[in-house]
Amino acid sequence: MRASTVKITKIIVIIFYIALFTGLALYDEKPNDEMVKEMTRPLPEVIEPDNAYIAFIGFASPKGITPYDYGAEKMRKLKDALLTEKVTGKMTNPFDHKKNELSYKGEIVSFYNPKMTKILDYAAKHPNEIAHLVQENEELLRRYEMLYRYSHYTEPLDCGFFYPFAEFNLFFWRVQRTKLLQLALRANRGDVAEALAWVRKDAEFWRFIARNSTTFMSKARSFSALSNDLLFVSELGVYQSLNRKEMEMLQNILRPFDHGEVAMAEVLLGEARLTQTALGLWNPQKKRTFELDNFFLKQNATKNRMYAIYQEKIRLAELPPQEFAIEFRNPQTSKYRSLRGIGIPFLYNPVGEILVKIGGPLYGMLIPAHNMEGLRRLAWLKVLAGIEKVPLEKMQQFLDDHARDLGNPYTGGSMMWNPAKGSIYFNDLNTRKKPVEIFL
Amino acid sequence: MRNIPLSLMIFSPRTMGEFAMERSQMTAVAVNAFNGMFVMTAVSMTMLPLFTGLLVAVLGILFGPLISFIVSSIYSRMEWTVGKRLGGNATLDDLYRIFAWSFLPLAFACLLYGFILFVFIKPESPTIFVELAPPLPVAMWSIWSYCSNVIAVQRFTPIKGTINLVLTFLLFLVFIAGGVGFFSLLTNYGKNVFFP
Repeated sequence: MRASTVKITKIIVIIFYIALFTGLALYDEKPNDEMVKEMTRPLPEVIEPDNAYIAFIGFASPKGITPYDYGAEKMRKLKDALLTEKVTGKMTNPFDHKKNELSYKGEIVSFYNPKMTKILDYAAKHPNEIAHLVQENEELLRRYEMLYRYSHYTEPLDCGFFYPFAEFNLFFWRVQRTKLLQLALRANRGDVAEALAWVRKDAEFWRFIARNSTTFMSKARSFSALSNDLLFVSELGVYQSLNRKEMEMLQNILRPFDHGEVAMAEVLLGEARLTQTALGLWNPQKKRTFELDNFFLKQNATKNRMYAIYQEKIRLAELPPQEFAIEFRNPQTSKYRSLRGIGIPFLYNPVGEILVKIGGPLYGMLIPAHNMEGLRRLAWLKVLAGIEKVPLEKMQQFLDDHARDLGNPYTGGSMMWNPAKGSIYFNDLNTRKKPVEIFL
Repeated sequence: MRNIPLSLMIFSPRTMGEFAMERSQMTAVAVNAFNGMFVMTAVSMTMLPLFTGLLVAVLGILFGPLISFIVSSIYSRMEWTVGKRLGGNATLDDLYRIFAWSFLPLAFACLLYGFILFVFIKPESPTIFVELAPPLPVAMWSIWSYCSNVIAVQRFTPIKGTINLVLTFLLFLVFIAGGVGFFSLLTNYGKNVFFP
């Protein structure tokens, strides 16, 4: 072949590759209409008088400032940081005023675990320690109970990386548990009705937070608090003689969760919005197209992929627990897996595809919602076993008899009895975790 | 063009060299493209749990030839430059053809190895050694074939030829290191220097 032909061929090949790389560097997908609609949906104002979230983040306010005012000031500083922060992707924490904030005083014992399965016994043996803890943290306990009056709960989903996780997760569980210990003391002295009334108020509050949660952290926090309530009320139901009115309160506390309380759809959409906002902060649209980052990370393509994965997760989350368990155990057949395989978009969005692959919600984050229902059933079983005075040797038979109404949420079969530990349980779908159990 | 028995080509690098010289430059370019395709596909196949099959195929077809063209062009030119300094007689075209044809068996072996690795996704250690049985000797043969043909076409003595080959290889490594360093500087500081 003549040299000129070879030369022409080489030139054509070079032009082809230049055109290919230019096209790949500049191309970005059209944003998914549904994704845009969902992700740009106007959010309710966060700093508004009745928002419990503001009180959460201001919970540790110094003396003289109310939690709401303190939380509102923090949110305003956060909004200023979002507006004025230069586009570098650097994360800063605008909450830089830890001085004079209240903190939990003392050490609270860990309970509702294999080492301490009942707190009524502990309260009977350690009344002075409990009274001291209550006295030392009187202000925090008062603030905790003030939270019940809030009627709204709206989280700031447009914060991206600035979402105040650490602030929210401060020490609610310690304050709640202190209150439970105090109630255990009162129940031991015969004031069961007041204990139940308080737990009912607390459980209603955390059901309300769970219903309105739009992030995993918030949902998980509410589940954790609700778990304490369920475990305490089941203990009261077994070891205290309840009159009709008290039993009605107990039944109300242990009633089934309605769809909103353990549903994950809004949480997944909220997390999608948080993540995509983080992407926008990290690599905003305003950047010039010829910056190196934009050649490898395409905003629309990444958001589209991420949104598709969250939508698939929502589908999984809305499955009944038994169908969810089947899909969880066999992800090979799940459509989810095909969404997660990196395909042709890798050519024009390599960094984005890797980000989506390694990021995004894990299967395991959907399990706690189903576990909550399972724990509620275990709590009811404990109460019924106590009322019916079921002998331990007949416990499994008792559980089998209740398989239909209070059975294992994942299998539809009965809960299991562990005579060695004295607990009734069901296995968590995540095999690396311990079974969900309640001690009799 | 002579019809050369395959067995002679397999066992005689010199015959492989003659075969390469008798084929056109365009054929050498095509062979290089296939080499790149096979190697790229083999590498991409190890990512099959992460990548879809279609992406693996596209990466192999689109980017394999490109990487092969770049590597073979640079390496051949380096070989020619170093050889010329040492008094060699080969043309750039000769060295390019030798590069393409010598490494064709290795490219096939890489593809085969990629398939084997894909089938045995988490192989045991003894399996890995068994899997390496075909590609390793082929790799060694390809390198030997390339080296002996370069020495022959340059008309070097064995010692001079060896020096030529080693120098070229070292120069290539330095070039790669320099390229990586330059790219690293560009990504870290180029944004501010070129696009303030």
